[in-house]
Amino acid sequence: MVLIHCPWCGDRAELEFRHCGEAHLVRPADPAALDDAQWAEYLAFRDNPRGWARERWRHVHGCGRFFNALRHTLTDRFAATYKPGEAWPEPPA
Amino acid sequence: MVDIRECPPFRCTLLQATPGVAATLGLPLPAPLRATDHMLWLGPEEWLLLGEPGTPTGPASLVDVSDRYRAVSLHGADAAALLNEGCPLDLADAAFPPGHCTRTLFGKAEIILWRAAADDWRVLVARSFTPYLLALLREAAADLNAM
Amino acid sequence: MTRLATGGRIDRTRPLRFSFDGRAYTGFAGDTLASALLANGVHLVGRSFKYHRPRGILSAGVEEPNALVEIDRGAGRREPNARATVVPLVEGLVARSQNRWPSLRFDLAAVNGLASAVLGAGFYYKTFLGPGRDAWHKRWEPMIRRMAGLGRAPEAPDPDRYGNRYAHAEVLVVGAGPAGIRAALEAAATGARVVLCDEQAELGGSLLAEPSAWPQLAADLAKLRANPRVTLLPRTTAFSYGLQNFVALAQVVEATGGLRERLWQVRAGRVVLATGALERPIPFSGNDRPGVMLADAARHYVQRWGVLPGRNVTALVAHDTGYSAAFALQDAGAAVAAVLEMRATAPAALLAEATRRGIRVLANHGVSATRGGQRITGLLAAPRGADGTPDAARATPIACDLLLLAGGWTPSVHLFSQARGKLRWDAALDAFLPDEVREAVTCVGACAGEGLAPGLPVTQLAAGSATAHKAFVDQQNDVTTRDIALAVREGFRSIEHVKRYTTNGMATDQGKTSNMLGLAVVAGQLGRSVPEVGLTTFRAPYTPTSFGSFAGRHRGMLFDPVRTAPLHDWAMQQGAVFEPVGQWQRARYFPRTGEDMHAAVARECLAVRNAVGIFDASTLGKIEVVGPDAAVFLERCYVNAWRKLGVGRCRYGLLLREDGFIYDDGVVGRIAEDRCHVTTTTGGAARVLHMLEDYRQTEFPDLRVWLTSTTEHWGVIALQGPRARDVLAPLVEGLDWRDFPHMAVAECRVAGIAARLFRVSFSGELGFEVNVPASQAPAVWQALLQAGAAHGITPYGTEAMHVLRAEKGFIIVGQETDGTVTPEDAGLAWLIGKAKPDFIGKRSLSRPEMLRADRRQLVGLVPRDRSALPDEGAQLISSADARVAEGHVTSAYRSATLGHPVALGLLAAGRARLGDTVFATRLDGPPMALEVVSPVFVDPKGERLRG
Repeated sequence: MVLIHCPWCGDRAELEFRHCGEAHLVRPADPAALDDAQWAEYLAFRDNPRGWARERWRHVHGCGRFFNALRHTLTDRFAATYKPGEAWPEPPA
Repeated sequence: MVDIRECPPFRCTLLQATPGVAATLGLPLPAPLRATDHMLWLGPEEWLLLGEPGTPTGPASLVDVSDRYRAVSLHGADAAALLNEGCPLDLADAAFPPGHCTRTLFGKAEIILWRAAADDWRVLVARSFTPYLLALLREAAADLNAM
Repeated sequence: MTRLATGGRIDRTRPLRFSFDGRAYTGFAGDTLASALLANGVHLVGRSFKYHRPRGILSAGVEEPNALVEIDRGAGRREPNARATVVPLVEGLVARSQNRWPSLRFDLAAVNGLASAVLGAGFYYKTFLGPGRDAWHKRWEPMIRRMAGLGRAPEAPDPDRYGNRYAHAEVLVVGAGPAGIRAALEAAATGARVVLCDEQAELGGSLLAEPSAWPQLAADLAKLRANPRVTLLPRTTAFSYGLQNFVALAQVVEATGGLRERLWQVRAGRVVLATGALERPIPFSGNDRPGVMLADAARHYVQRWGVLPGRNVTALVAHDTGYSAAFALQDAGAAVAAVLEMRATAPAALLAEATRRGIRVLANHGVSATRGGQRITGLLAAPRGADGTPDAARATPIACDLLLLAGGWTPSVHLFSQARGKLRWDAALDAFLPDEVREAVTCVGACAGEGLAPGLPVTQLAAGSATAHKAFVDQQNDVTTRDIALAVREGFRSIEHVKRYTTNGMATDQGKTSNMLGLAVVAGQLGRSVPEVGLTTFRAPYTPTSFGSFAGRHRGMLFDPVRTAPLHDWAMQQGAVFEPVGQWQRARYFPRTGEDMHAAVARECLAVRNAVGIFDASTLGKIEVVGPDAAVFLERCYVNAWRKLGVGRCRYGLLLREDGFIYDDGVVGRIAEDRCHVTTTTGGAARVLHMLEDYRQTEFPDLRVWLTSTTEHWGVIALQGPRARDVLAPLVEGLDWRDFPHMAVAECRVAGIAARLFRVSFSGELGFEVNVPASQAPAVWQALLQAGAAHGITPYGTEAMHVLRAEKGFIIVGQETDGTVTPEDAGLAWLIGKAKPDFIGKRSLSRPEMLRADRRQLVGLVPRDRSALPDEGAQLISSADARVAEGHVTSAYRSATLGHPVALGLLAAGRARLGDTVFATRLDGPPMALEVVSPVFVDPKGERLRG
C-alpha cells in the first residue's frame, strides 16, 4: 500500500484515496460546438501511458479534495502531487 | 486497557465556505488537521462546528448534521494501538498530537478521528455505521494485548 | 530415545504430551514438533507429493520441504501443510502425516514411484496440451486427483479470530539473529521506534545453537524488552515487502480462545533485513531418504533442543561449516563414520581436527547411492570423476543412520528482491547478494554475505548429478536433476520457463532449498554460468500465509458494515423479513400470522391503493446543495431546468453521465433560493455525491455552492395512499395546505418535530415523505401509526414498494437501467430542459447511435395468459423460436391491484410495438408469450396522486 501525498493533508495511506482518471482534461466550454469525433476524443480517448502518467486522485476519506498526481504506471511511484490549476511538473529523468 | 464509550448525542453543523467567510463567525479557525473546542478542520473549506453554529457573513453552507454523526470515546494507554487495528494513520504523539483531527478510515467505515486530549480519542461516525464500529472496536479490544 | 541427558534450551521440567499419527509421545517446552519427533526417534514423517516416497526432516526452519504435517486443533482448526520444523510443541498437540494411504509406513501409492518415468518434467503440459488429452480425462486425472495434492483443507468454519495492526516504526528489523539483534539495539539506542520480528518462536537465530552466546543473548533481549519503544515479535514472518517500506508481517499468536494470528502492516522509515542464509542440500541419487539432513540443522537439534538425530553419522560436505556440525554431533555422543569431502582437498586445519578426533575424511568424494527404506541405513561413498560424477564402480559402502549435507550457503535475499532491489552475483562467495535498491533498506549479516565463507561452487555441487537416478532438487514437488536436464534438452532455456515446466521451486516452500540447485543444473546443461542463466522472481508471500490473516476480522457480521435505518428496531419487533440493499438491511415485508411473502405483499399493496401505507424510506441518499449558485449548479448537472423551480416546490430529476446514459434519479426540493434538498437512490448516495463533488471542485469552481451529505441526518417516513392526507394533516403544524400541491415541499412541524415535508409519490397514490432528524423518526412514526389506525394504516416493505412503482411504470435505476439507457429509452425525455444549452451528458444524446429508431425502449409487458410470471432478466425474442434477443425483462411482479402479473422491459423500438406479442425466454420451459403495453398500468392520467 503506497503513501500518497495529499496537497492538503500530507502523506496518507492509499486506502483513503480514489483514483479518478486522467488529469488535465478540460470539459469543453460549449460541447454543442464539437463534432462527434471531437466529442468522442474528449469522452473516451485517454493516453494510458506506459510510464509517467498525469492522473486525478481524490482524498475521498480525508479532506475530500481532488488533486493531480504524476505517477509511474510500471513502478507505482508517485513523483509529485499538486493542486488543481497548478502547472504540471516535469517527469523525473 | 481501553475504555470504549458511546457519547451522548451532540449538536453539530457542517460549515463550508472560504476561510475569509468562515472567519466572520468570530471563532479562531483551526489550522489544517487541527481542532479547537468548537471547530474541527475537515478540509480546506470545510469545518465541523460543535454547539450553536452562529451565522457567517457572506456566501457559505451551513448544514445541521447533528443526527448524522454519533461519537465514541476511547480512553486508555492502548487507545492508539486499538485504533490502529483499523486505522492506517500513525497515531504516535509526534505524528498525531492532542488537538489533531482528520477524516480517515476504521476498517470499512469512514470516521472523523479527533484526539481531544492526550488520553481522549473521539471517533465520529455516520449513525448507521455505529454498530459496526463498536463491534469491531470491542472485538479488537479483547485481543489487543494477546501476543 | 535420542534426547540428550543435558543441554539445549528445552525446559526438562515441563514435559508435553502430543500425538503423531495416533501414537502418543512426549516432548518438552521449547521443542518444535520436529525436534520432539526426532527426540522420540521418529524420522519418517511424510510421503512426497508425486511419488509418495518416504520423507523425513531435512531442516530445522521455514525452508523445510518435507516434514509437512496436518495439525488438528479441533473442528475448523485443522491446518494442512504445517512445517513440523516451526510448529512449537504444546500440550495435547495432535499431528498427522499427509499424503499417505492407508498408512505412512505402508503406502499403496508409492507405486507411483514405479511410474516416475512418465510423471517426469512437463507431465501436466504434455497431457493437457498434447495428443494425450483424452487419456488425461479418462485415466490420469482421476488417478492424480486421488494420489497427489498435499493435505486436507478443514471443512468446518474457522472458529478463531484474526487481527490486524497498522504500525509505524522508524526502524523495522527482520530477523532476530546476531545481526538483527545488533541492528535493533543500535536503532533503539537512538530513541527510534523499533520493531524486531523473527519467524521462530524464540528470538536468537543462529545464536540459539551457540550455548556460549546465550548469556549475552539473554542480556540483549532483556535490554530490548525493557525499552517501551521496541516491539519484539517472535513467530512473526515478514512475508511481503511493498513500496515505501511497507512490510506485511504474519504473527502467530494462538491465544487460548482468542486471537490466532495477527497481520501487521508496518510502515517503516528504514528496514534492516537480517534474514540470514539457508544451507544448500546436495543432489545425488537417493538424497531424499529420511535421515538425510542439512548439517547445520543437525547441529541445531543437538545444541538448541538437546536431541541427537543420529548415532552413526556420515557427513557429505562441500563447505567448512559441515565439519562443525559433524564435530558437534560427535561431541554429543554420535559416532562419525566419515566425512566425505566433495572438494579436491579438505582444508588443512579441519582435516587436522578431524584426524585428532579419529574421523576419517575422504577428499574428492561424493555419494553414488543411499540405502534404506523408511530411514537411511547406509550409502556408497564414491570418488568424484573429472566431471564431478561419483564413480559407482569404485564406491565403498558406509553404514549410517544419519547423513549430513553441507552444500554451502545461500543468502536469503527474498525480501530484498521483493523490495525491487537488484541482486549481483558474487563470484567469490558463489551467491547472489543485495545490490542497488531505491527503498530505504539495509541488509546485514549473512543475507548480505557477511561472515560467509566460500565453499564448493554450486555448479560443481550439482556437477555430474544430471544423470543420477532420483537425485532430488525440489523435494516438495518431487523434481529431480533428470527432470531439469530433460526440460533443457526439450528446448527450455529461460529459467522462468524451466521452473514452470518442471514445477521446480513452485511448491509452498517457494524453492528455498531448490532454486539454487535447479539453477546450477540448468547452468551445467547449458554450459553457462549461474548469473547468465539468472534467477527466478521472488514473490510474496515468503512463507505460506493463512487466509485468515488476510481476511482479519472481516468475516461474519463484520465482513461488511451492516447499516440499519432509524426504524429498524421497530421493524424487527414487528417480525419484518429483511433484505440487504447494498450495506443496508431493509424491511422487505411485514408478514402476519400465516402469510407467505406473496400474501403479505398483496395485502400491503392493496392497503396503499385503497387506504394508506407507511414506509421507511430513510436509506434514500440525500445531499444538501447550498450556496448562491445552488440552482445554477444543479442546472449544469441534471437534465432538468431548475432555475425556475420556485421555493417550496420539488421536481423529479435525472442525472446522466457524460456519455448520455442514466446515472441516477431523485427528487430535488427547493428549500430556499440558495438551498436545495436533493435525494438520490439508496445505492447511489455515495457515488452521486462523489460525481457532483468532482464537477463542483474541478469543472465549475466558479460557482459558489457546497454539497453536504445528509443521508444519515434525516429519517424519512413515506405515507402513501388515498387516506394519507387524512392521517397526516392533524399532526402537521405550520403548513398552508391550500398551497401544497403534488411536488411541493415545506418546512413545518409533524407531531411536534421540525420536519421537511415533501408531497411526492413513488406509488402513484397521494403521497408524502416526512423528513425528520433521524433520532426523532421512531417517535414520529409512532404518532403517524396512531393517527392512522382509524384509517387502516399499514406498514409496507421494499417488496410492495417495488410492485407499486412498477404498476405505475416508475423506473428503478439499476433495475430498468444498466448504464446503456438514455432518457429517451426510458421514456423520460420530457424531463430534459429543452432550452438549456448544456448539462452533463447532453452532447452525447445527439450522437447518431443515440438517435437510432431501434434502440431498446421501456415498455410494459403482460403475459398473454394473464397468469405466469416471467423471469426478471429473461431475454425478449420476437417469436417462440427466434434466436436473437431484442431486449429483456427488467422487472416482473404479481399485481394484486390488477389481478395479473405485470412486467417492465426494454424492447427494441418497443414504443412502436404496443399490442404486439413478444416472448420471454424461460430456463425451465418454452418461451412465454407477452403482450407489449404501456409501462403505466395504474392511473395513466395521474389523477390519484394529484387528489
